[in-house]
Amino acid sequence: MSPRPEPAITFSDLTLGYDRHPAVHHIIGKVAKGELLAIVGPNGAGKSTLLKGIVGELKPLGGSLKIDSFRKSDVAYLPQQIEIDRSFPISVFDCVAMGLWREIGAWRGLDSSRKTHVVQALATVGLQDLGVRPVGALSGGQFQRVLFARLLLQDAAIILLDEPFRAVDTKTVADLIALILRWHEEGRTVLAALHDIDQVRAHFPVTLILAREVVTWGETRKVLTPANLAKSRQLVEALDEHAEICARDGEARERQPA
Amino acid sequence: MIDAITQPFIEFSFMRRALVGCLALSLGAPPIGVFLMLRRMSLMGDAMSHAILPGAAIGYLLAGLSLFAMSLGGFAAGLAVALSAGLIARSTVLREDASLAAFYLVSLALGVLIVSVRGSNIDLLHVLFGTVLALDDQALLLVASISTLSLLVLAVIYRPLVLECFDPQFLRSTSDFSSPTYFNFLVLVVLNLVSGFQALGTLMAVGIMLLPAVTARFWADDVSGLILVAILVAFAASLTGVLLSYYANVPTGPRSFCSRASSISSRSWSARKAGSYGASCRANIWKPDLLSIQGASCHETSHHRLDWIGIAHAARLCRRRKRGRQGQGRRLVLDPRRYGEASGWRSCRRDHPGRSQRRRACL
Repeated sequence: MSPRPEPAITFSDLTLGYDRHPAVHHIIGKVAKGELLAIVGPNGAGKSTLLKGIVGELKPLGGSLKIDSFRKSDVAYLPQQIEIDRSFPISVFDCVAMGLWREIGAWRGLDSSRKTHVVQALATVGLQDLGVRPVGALSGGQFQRVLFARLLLQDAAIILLDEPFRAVDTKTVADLIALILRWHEEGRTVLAALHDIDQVRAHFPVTLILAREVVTWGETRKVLTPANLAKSRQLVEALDEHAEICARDGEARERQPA
Repeated sequence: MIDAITQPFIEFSFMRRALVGCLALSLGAPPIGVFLMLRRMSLMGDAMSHAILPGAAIGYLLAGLSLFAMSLGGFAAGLAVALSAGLIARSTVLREDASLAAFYLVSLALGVLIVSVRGSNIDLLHVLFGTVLALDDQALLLVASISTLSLLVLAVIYRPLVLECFDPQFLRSTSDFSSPTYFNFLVLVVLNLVSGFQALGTLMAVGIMLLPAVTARFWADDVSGLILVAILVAFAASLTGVLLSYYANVPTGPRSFCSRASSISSRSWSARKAGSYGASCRANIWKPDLLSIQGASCHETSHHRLDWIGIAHAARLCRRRKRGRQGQGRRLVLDPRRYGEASGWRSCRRDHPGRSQRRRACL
């Protein structure tokens, strides 16, 4: 890997897991500021776990993780399984405006310039006419666009996307990738867990292949080889067998395989 | 018409108090109900209302029929259950409903135990099952201050609370408001239940929270609209409920409020034809009979509901069994000393159940 500017995220021997059973082991490395990083790996490789660890939903089982930011709101996170209640009586506009939380917090009002920001964000994702609709009236793809508009307003230095393109048509994917590239140009650090290898090849300069541990991490065109991908698949299967090395008790074998 | 509405309030001070009490409740509780509904915790209110029981009972045991002690006890018990359930739900795999169910059942069992140990006291029933016509100054003050407080707190935590209901993950990942908001909200739920049980009883205190909220869901499309409509529905239901009980001489409080509210919501349902919803009302299903308390004038005491706990305490409670025409029937006379045991059926009849006397014989 080439020498980098200051790191935005530093992993030092980070181990993350559920119920004391590790799911991702011994991650060592740095994510540079402004990097556009794709995290690739088979199901069960620990991509979501890693992102959850960064956002703070999971506490490290071992090692540590350092994020170069002072506030929680400097990290924006789009989870894979959203807990959002789509039947909630709230308009698309209000939902997107929540992205302004960092600016307005719990009590400040939405003045006209901020309202303009919200409208612009909606326009950026192509939903300018749907602001007054309730969120329940949107399709899956439209709702994904709404979530991206909210990310846009969050104005975060680090953006974490967990499988952002599932159940979304190609037109929407293209629009959303354009948005991700724009964030990259603006100097934000973007980490995205992805499945589509062609997307990664086309747009992401740096790739991390994960299989419960780091398989390789570096420039996409060097790293993303069939050999490495095959290795990651084998590792996810094989790792179940010696997961207990890191486990704090002997039940690690019971962990659900990939 | 206007006379019919205003006359009872001009004439009787207890009617005025009942109205003021109900209106104060209608201001504080329905917004809480709206959020309970939006957070899909509608039944949680019901569970919490049971959880209050042991606290109120202990308060009664320690300090007698003191409003302060019983409210404080109820509040403490409710809070303990709500907070421990919330804590368990947030820190383990157990979901909110399961942990709450566990805690409230323990609490309720304790409550029934305490109540039956110290049973057969009609005064306790007054507070446990609510008497809106017997609200005194202290009780009114308590209800009013709780309503004021809950509106103020709600105004402060409004935005985080909406987010907590809509997208808790987002709130967690962007700020530290999630847990404080949630626990503040639980405190408000318990407070409002405590204030509700003064007037409506522990069981129906949830009614004034949830029925207006559920009704409002058919009429409003955003959260602030929901809150407004819910408050208005609660106002209307309170007024008509109190008046209905005055004119029809049925128990005030739970039953009349409940039936008003459910009729309003079923009307909204048919008007809007949205979703599938059937408002059913606990009191209506149960069909409580009436009891007037000896030694008190008819208007001042109102009637008591026969409830599953009430059975243990009320001496002259009767359950009617209709037989053929309304002119005759049997009533089950209950033993005041033993829990839920009947001392026997007595037959009762009205000699001339003519057209002019359509009242049932066994009332």
